[in-house]
Amino acid sequence: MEPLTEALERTAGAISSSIDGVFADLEKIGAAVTAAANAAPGIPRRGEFLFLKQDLANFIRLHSALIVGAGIAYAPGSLPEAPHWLEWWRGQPKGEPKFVTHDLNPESLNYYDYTTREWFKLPSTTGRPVAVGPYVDFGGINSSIITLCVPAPTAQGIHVLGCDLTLANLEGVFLRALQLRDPAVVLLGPNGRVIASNNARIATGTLLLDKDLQRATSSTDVSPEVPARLPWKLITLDG
Amino acid sequence: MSVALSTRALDLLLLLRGSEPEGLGRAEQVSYQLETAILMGILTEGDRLPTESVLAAELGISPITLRQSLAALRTKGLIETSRGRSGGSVIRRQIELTDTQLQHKLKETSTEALRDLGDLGAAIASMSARLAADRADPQNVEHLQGLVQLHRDTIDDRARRRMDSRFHVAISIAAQSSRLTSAALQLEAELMTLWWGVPVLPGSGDSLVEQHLAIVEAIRARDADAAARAAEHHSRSEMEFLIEQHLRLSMKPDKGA
Repeated sequence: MEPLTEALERTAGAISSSIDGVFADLEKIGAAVTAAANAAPGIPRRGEFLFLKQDLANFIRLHSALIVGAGIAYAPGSLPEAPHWLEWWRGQPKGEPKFVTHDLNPESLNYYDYTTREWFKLPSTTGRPVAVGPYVDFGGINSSIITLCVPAPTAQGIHVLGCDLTLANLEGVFLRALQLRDPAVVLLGPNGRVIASNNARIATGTLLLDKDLQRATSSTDVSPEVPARLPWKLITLDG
Repeated sequence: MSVALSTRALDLLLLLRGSEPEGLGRAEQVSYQLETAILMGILTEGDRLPTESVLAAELGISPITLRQSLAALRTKGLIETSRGRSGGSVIRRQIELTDTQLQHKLKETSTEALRDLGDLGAAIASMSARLAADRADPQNVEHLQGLVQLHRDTIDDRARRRMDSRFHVAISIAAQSSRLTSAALQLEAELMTLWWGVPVLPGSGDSLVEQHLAIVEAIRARDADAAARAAEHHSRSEMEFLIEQHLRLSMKPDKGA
């Protein structure tokens, strides 16, 4: 095999296997949420999901090399206590993950309306897991992130479990696997944003423009088995 | 021998306020501010700090808090304090980060963070140069010219880095903007903690020096657009260089842990 093809496949493999591992564990937590909702007598209250705090803390710790936080967004109107409810934790260098407060008051200037965010909308409309981004989560973490989201269907609606990956962490996986400076290789998100690249001129988080894409010489699906879940490509560019 | 700190150095020191990482106490913030000033060469060996009561008032802290900050610097051997009439605290040494420290920091700083820093840097640099083209007096221009030459002729790469950052801050000063100067200082302080790679041989053939000269020439010619363009170009190529180094370091396989 040509060294370039080999490097691309190695990189695609390293990225998809890292992400697949995170998805698999998040799906387990999603299944537990569905099971807890089904097992509850009547309409489940928040109390039915208290196990999430520990489960998500373990999950964040286990995948701390990639993810910086995780949580759940409940389907609007599904909980008797509040119309909207979001619980998110951020990993800490030491100790337990910290609860992140979001402003869920619609009257507030900082109102975080998760129901309009892609990371909530996509999995709750398609019913399928998906990697969303990169996007800048203002009101959330305020830096460019990717959110892996998993739906947890219940009789009251689809809740969404998610976890945040920073581009910095992904860049490490990408560069260590690629080991190549030439040609330019770009890890591209479905929204045309650069997740990582081996070229200083193609900046992380920016859009790869049409004029850049015209120089594309090859395109490799990162996750050919489940492209809908991880819709990323490795693009090589000429010159 | 020690020399009293110039008003200008004190002003720059005060402008560094706000560059500290989050979560520090007031005394630690001031130590950080002073250390950054030493790292950047705003405070140099032999500089005598103002008396504790004067410095505390300038920094807007209590003398007790200042004494805590100075004690921390003394422990690190950065300053020396003597008692008596001609007493006070004197800067004792320059902070020199090792190559390993600088490389580690650059490797740990993601491309995204570098790009973000570069975006801000380009904004500060181009607006400063634009304003300087309108506002710089002949003295400002001479000072800038002098710094370009000093930078060109400095052989030691760390000293050269410091000279480079002084040049950039001086453009914001020539723009007569205190906020831009403060922003430039804080940005340069951050860049000072990153690895700038193998030293370049001193000489006028160096592209950095040419870019510096282009900025000064445009400011001298009062061509605001050209000054802004040259400064933005320079800022972007510096960041591209840093990202290159970061990519290179990140691809190096980890040495046995």
